Amino acid sequence: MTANPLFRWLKPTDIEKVSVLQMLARDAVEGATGGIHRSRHVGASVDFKEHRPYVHGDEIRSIDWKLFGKTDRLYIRQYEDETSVRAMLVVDQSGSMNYSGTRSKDLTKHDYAIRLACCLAYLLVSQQDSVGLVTFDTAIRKHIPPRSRPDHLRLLLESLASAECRGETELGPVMHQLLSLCRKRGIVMVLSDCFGNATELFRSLSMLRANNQEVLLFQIIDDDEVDFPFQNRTLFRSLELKEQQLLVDPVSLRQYYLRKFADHQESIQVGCKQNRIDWIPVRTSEPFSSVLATYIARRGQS
Amino acid sequence: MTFLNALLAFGATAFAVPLLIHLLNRSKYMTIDWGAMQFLDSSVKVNSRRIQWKQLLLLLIRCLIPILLALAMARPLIQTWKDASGTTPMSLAIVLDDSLSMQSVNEQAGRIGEQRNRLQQAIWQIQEILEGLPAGSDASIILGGRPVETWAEHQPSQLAKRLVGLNDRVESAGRLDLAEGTQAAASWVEKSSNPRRHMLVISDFQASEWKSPQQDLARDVAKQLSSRTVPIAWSFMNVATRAQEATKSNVSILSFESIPSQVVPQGKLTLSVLLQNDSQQAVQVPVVLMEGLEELERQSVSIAADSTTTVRFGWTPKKAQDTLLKVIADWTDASPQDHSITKVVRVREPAKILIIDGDRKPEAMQSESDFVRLALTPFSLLRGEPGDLFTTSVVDAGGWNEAMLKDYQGVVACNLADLNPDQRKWLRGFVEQGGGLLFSLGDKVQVDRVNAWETVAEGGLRIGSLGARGAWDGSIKPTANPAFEFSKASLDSLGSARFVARNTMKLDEGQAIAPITSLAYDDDQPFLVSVAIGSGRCFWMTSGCDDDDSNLPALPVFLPLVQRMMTTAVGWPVGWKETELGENWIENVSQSKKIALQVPGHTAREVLADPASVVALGSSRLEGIGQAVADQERLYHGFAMTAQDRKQELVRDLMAIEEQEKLAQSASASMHQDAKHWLEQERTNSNGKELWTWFWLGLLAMFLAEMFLQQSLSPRTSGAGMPSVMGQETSQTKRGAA
Repeated sequence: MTANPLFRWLKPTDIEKVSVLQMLARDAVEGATGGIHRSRHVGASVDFKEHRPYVHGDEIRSIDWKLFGKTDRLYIRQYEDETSVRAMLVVDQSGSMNYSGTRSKDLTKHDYAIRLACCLAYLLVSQQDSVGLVTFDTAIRKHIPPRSRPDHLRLLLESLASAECRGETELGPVMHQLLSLCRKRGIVMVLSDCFGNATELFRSLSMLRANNQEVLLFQIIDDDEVDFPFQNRTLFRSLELKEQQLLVDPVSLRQYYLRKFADHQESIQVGCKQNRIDWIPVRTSEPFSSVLATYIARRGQS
Repeated sequence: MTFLNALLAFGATAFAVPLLIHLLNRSKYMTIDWGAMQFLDSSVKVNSRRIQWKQLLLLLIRCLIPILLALAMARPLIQTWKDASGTTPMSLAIVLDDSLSMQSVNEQAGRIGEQRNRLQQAIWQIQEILEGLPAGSDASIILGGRPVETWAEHQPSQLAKRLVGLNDRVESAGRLDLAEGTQAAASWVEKSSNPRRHMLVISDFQASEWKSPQQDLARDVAKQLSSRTVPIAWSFMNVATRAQEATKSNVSILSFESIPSQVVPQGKLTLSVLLQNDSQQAVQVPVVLMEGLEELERQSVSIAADSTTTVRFGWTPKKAQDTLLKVIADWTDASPQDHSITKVVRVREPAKILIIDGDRKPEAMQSESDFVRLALTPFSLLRGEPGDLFTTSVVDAGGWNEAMLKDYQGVVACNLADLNPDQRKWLRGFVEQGGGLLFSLGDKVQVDRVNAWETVAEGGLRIGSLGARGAWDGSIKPTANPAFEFSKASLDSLGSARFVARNTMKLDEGQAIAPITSLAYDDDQPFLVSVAIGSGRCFWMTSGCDDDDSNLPALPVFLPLVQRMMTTAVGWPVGWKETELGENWIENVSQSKKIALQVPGHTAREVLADPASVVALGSSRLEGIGQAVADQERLYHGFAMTAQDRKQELVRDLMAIEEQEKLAQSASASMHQDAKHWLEQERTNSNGKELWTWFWLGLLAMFLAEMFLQQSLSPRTSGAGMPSVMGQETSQTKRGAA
């Protein structure tokens, strides 16, 4: 019996948690089939959208006769159309994702990203939406176009699992390439630690936005990177560039590091706000299914 | 710059500790594979130089802290700085000459009707000085008379209190010991903690104590004092005023003898005291004999102008114990210290002697035992009075056993033919346990049988082989190395001894303890030989004690000779040595031994004496008896104020003022006449400033700087503000904003 790759990453309890969720696109999207998301087209559904004056060529049956009776003018009743969403999971596989700190139980950021991606993919596929996958480091490594079939999930998971982290994070050029892959309206979910040039990142993300994509930015960060708890003299070896290493006294550097880090986070936060991107900072010490559940619940409220 | 606690200055090497920690930490680091390199990299680029600089500064400060601490505790001192206020605390060691001469009365000092001796004058001066010392000063008083005594109270007020009783002390010291006194003072000052160090010598500048070679000594002391790390200044103060013609009316006691030196209870002792009158007119002096505080006898003695007189006292001890007798001339003049003299008299129970006679005859004065008895107990036999050093019992050759011996301290065996093995064993045991034994050979002795006895080495008593008894016409003489000394009268008497018959004796060679021949015949054959066995002693006399053998019993020397032999044999000390108070009790030690020592006024202690050296067993300020016990040997020694060699020079022989000034100059000391003068000069003379306050301040500053730097380098407790989904409140893009 071939094990479901899903279970390699997710525990039944995680799946249970996620399966009750429903993720809706915020913006109107363009799906291939009927679904639960708002389409940019009007169509047949039970949700009334608006009245519009009758113009020549409209179907007679769509005229709201009751309104005609009241106003002596011809209006047409339009209804919302509902469709499926095309979601693209963009997973960072650069070297820096390979970090696991002391408090994350040997779970690297990449492992965490995979688990989160699994959850999302499972969630989307289970609501008949199509999910695609892009992995990248400095450039796009692998691209799987969105499909909504349940066995497509298996393909996604396998290619995620086989991935290996190396190279630098460079989100900017990757997003340019991504533009050509996401022509239709949909959701782009980026899972990355967002280390790298923030300005470059948001230039490309804003292009995605301009291309009618809803963007969710899951920033996955380890606790150690947040509070830099090191005390003793330490040799820091870069996970991305093998030759880069620094022997420093972390205690004396800490406040400068923290300031730098805070600056970076701030620019990401501001950039997200400007471009109306959902910024979901996540720490690897938090259980990912709960993170997802909390996020989706909050997303539903707002 | 010098350090008061120079040893602590080495603590400055502790600066190596932070340095070492720093270097060790540098070589030790952990390795982390790190993702967020961009933040770290830029932080390092911007800050590395500043951080490095700060860390070096921190290291420097941490190294400075132990250095400053050590230096501050070592109490640095700059001597060339002058402390103008004169309030720098000082350590003052006062060497006070408390020798007998200090008890001379200062006639010019003091109010009318009040007699002050020099010591009292010195005490008042010292009290004034102690009051005038700057606050925080400490002082000590070293009594410079022999043996030197140190009063090391640091509080001047305590010292002043203690001084009050000094003049009434029972103890009295010997001559001023300048070397010891200044040594003790210097070593006390060395231990003190004040930057100003001073030594003040207060004396009456008696010529005999201060003139050469003491003058050179003072120069040497001055050199030593100034060569110390913190030099000790010193000055002199004279407390004697020159008495005019006062010495002319001086009465002094020159000597105090007791005859004999040993006495038993009820025995009579004659004490003769020699008095001298230096004045130009005859005086009538009451002289008192005292035992402790009890007045025994008072005589009024008239002494002619400028002459001496002997006074005799009779004294009969009641108990067998050593007694301190004191003679006081009840007279008033300027030097009262030579009006008294003391002597320690030994009083012992008489020793019991058993006389074994091998040829006892019923007629009086025919047997040897009669002569021996007479020599041992002359008082009771001739006069029927008590006072003999011995009591005797006479038995026949077979009339004694081992149990009887326990009651006796000595045995005299006269004219025995032989001893059976049991008797020899008993006697050997008796001697080993401290008994005295005297063999006196006579006409009955069976030479062959005696020569068959065990030798000393074999556990017996024989020390050589006897030759046959034969006639001999000759005399005896003392050998070069006798067991005890003979007085001149005894020597004269010995010369007239004539012998009739004798036994020769050939001493065994190579015995473990060599026998000592005290008397020998003219042809060098031994006459009187003694050997120590165990803790007792055995004498052999190779001729008899009756007139068949020699005329010795009829000679005056016979009685003291027999008494000497028996006192030596029973372990009584032969002589009775005395030293003056303050002088050292010196003994010749023939072999290395541990001596348990008891000196009056001192606690008991043990001394390890080296062989063949003169050992100073200590000196005392208290009159009494010193006791030294080594193995079985017991030495007694009297400490008494004899005042013999000091009789009159005490007052007369003071240094002239010019001489004193010259002495002070050569010893680079200043000369003072009273406390006021001294205090004034000291106030203007106060050199030396301590720097420790600056070092403490520096240390404090370094601590603060260290804390500040440490703070600026150390992590803040909170991390960077990083929102997370779980705790996120806002920052969400609005739904449907597009």
